Amino acid sequence: MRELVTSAGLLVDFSDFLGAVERQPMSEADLVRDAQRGDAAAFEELYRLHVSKIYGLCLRMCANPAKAEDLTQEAFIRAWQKLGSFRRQSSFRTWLHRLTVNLVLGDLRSTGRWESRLTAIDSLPERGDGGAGAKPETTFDLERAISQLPPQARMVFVLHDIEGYKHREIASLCNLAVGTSKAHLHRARKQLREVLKR
Amino acid sequence: MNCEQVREQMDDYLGGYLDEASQQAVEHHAAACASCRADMKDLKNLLAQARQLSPGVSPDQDLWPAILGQIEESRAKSWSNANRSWMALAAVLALAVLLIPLLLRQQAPEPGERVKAAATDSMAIDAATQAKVDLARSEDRVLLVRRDLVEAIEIRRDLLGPEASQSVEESLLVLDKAVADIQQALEENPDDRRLRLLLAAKYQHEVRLLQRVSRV
Repeated sequence: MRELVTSAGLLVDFSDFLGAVERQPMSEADLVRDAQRGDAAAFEELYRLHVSKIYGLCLRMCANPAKAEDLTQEAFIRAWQKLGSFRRQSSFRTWLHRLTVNLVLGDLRSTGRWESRLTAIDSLPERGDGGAGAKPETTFDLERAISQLPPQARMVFVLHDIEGYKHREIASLCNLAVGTSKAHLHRARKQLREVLKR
Repeated sequence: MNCEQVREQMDDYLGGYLDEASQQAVEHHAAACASCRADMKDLKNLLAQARQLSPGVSPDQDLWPAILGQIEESRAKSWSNANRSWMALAAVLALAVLLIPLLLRQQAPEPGERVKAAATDSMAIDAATQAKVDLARSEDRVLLVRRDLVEAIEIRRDLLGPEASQSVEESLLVLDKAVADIQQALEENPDDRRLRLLLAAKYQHEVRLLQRVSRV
């Protein structure tokens, strides 16, 4: 049994305390609090809760599975390093999403892909002929079509139409004018509709 | 509103960005224009498909081992620095314990002086009441911070190593002893405002130290 004497003269039995903690299912707020204190096991639980959404976000934003894995890994490492600055003014999910979006944007900018030119629609692969209209094929076609969008249009489409961000938030995150964000979304939707009509 | 204007505003219309008048204008036009209606249906279909995409996609491999490896690596570096901080803290506290009895002797007034001061200073009662309130708040705060610190230490015990762990526990006991010394002096001179202020200041100092330790 581990004990310490508090200033009030009370004995604290940590074995009982830790046992009680382990028996309780922990809320996300508890996990964040423990992770902020250096508990890697709590942070692993946060990772398990959010990894698929963060990887999905990275994959759709950068359209490269290997790169998406690297960015997901980097996002969680940065989250661990910056946990101390998380003040619970937003949810952990929102905080982690913003951190990830900034990370992917920084990567796209540093590698020069952010400014790359519009992918020619004619260069996209043809849609498969079987099962048009069925959900799995439709989903697959849409994912593929999204991956072929130019980076800025893809980013705005993913953030607005899949992740639910508003233009004002996207403009702030991506350092764009609201009008530019709207223009990218318009271009992305137009290109997607044309590809999916084939 | 003509077809071109409606198509320009269709994204904003579906996104809910238009004011009521513009929204009604788009709807009014679409109700009468088959081409724009078809266009809007087309766009709605795309948005419905986008909404059906799963927000989550699992990576092909578990990324946690690599993440944990990086976390441990960075933590090993920071704990190496932290251990030096623990030692420095322990030294500061040891010094504090040596100085506190000296301070108490300097701060505690002679009984005769205390009676004289209480009789002549009409503000002393208010000040003493305020000092009691400050003291109670400080004590509550110390207990809360201490509880958090103790939890943090328990979680990090394995990483701290035996030497640093022992140093931390000794530091906590040193803090307890310092506070107990002042409390005992206060019991002997319960109305001494300066002793109360000294204890409140000691608590505040303790909180700052503990917060610093918790952040390491």
